Amino acid sequence: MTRRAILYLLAGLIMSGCVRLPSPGQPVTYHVLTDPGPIVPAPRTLAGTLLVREMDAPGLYQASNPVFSRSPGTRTYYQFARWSEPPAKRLTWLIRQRLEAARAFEVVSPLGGGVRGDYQLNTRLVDFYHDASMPPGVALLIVEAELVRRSDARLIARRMFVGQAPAATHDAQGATDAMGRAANQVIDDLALWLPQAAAGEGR
Amino acid sequence: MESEARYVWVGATVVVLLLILAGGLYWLSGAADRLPTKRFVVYFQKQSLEGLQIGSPVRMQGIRVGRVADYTILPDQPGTVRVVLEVDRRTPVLEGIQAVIARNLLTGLAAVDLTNTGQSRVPLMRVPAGETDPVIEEGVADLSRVAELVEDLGRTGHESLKRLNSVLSDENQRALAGTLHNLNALSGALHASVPELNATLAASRQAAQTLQASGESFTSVVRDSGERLARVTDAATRTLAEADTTLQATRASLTRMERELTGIAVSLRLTADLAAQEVEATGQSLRQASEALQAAGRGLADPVRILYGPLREELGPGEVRP
Repeated sequence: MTRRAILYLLAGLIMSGCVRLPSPGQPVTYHVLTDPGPIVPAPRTLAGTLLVREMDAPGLYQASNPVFSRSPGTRTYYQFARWSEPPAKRLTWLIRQRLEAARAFEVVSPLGGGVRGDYQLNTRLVDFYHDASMPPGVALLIVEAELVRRSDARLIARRMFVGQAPAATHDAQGATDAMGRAANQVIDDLALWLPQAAAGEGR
Repeated sequence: MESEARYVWVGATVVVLLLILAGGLYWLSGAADRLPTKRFVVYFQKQSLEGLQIGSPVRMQGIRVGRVADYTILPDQPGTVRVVLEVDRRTPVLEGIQAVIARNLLTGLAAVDLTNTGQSRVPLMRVPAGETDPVIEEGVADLSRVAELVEDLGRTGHESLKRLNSVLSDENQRALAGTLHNLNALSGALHASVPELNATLAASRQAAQTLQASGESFTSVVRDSGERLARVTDAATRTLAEADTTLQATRASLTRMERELTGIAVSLRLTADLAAQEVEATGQSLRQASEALQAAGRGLADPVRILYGPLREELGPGEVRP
């Protein structure tokens, strides 16, 4: 029995030399989702602390691959492109950075950071992909946002934000650049809406 | 010639005599004394007009200023006589003037006396409807006032006599007699009760002395009680002061406990809030990790794709297979 096993192993090793595995087609590129601004200061700083909850995302967007779509209702990952970190997590950080810089609230902190908050911002990544059906294509970002008052767990306002930006080239680089601009639009709108909603004007 | 001259003298004399006769008649008729007059009307209802006749004088303050020109007993108003007066125009007949009948007690002749009441200084000129001359109001004669006073006096005296009679009626006299009898009996009983009253007074005096002695004893008792009460009060004051101190200490302790409880409640609320945040964040991370594991599992389920890479159809825009 032992002798037969050794024989099979040797035969396999000899045959493996005849087989050639395919090499990667091109190197994997990591793209960084950025928010170039501009940063517009809020008209007035609201008293209280805003806690930003990490953005919910469906399983498709929890991977680090950018997503594209060639036909309606389908989504596919770019194979040789990666985000530097999952897009929902990155978008959460970008939103928090923008709100802090705009001084819309006294304090802006992540949920679970040990800070007691007066308001809480919940966001959900609904869609974030490169529509490549018509080259060079368009980047689309849809985010749903809710503002909650934590003292009485009351929903103050809810809104859907949509950002669109045309891609410059029909490839991953053009797609990720356009997706960054779409994210910039959504963050602009969100930073403008949030203080109004908290002040009771955006309902 | 001589007879013609005599005729002239006779004629002239006759003419002169006739003129003198006419003048005398005019003087006798009183027309020379007549001055311009004004007519007034008086309706007399309350006074007797006995002795009044046409031509009777009309006087003001005792001076004759006119005469009675006419009078009429009104058939439709029994007891009312309409008298027309002619008064010298220079006489001040003013609004509110009154006319009364004044009668000479000896001759019985009557005259009309006019009296201005002084209420107005406006001459009486107004002529009422249905009249031809101004109407002077009828006044009350002084004699009438005296008669009314005498009549009132008699009426009051009569009333007083009637009341005196009722007071001195037989029934009241019997009641008065009964009262006097009772007073008599009472005085007799009092007289009989004098010894008893004296005994009562003596007993009262003794009782008063006893009461005085008791009062002195009571005073001493009260004095002792006061001293004891003062001691009790001192003790109670000390006890109250101690109780007050204890209460203050208790209040301070309660305040401190309340502060500490408030602090504990705040800490608990904060801890619960932070714990809830941690739980929520951890749950979210677990959920996402689970979904990521599922996605990875789906990718590992196809070893061919792991060994040979993605299919050509799975390549993104701009991506190429080797």
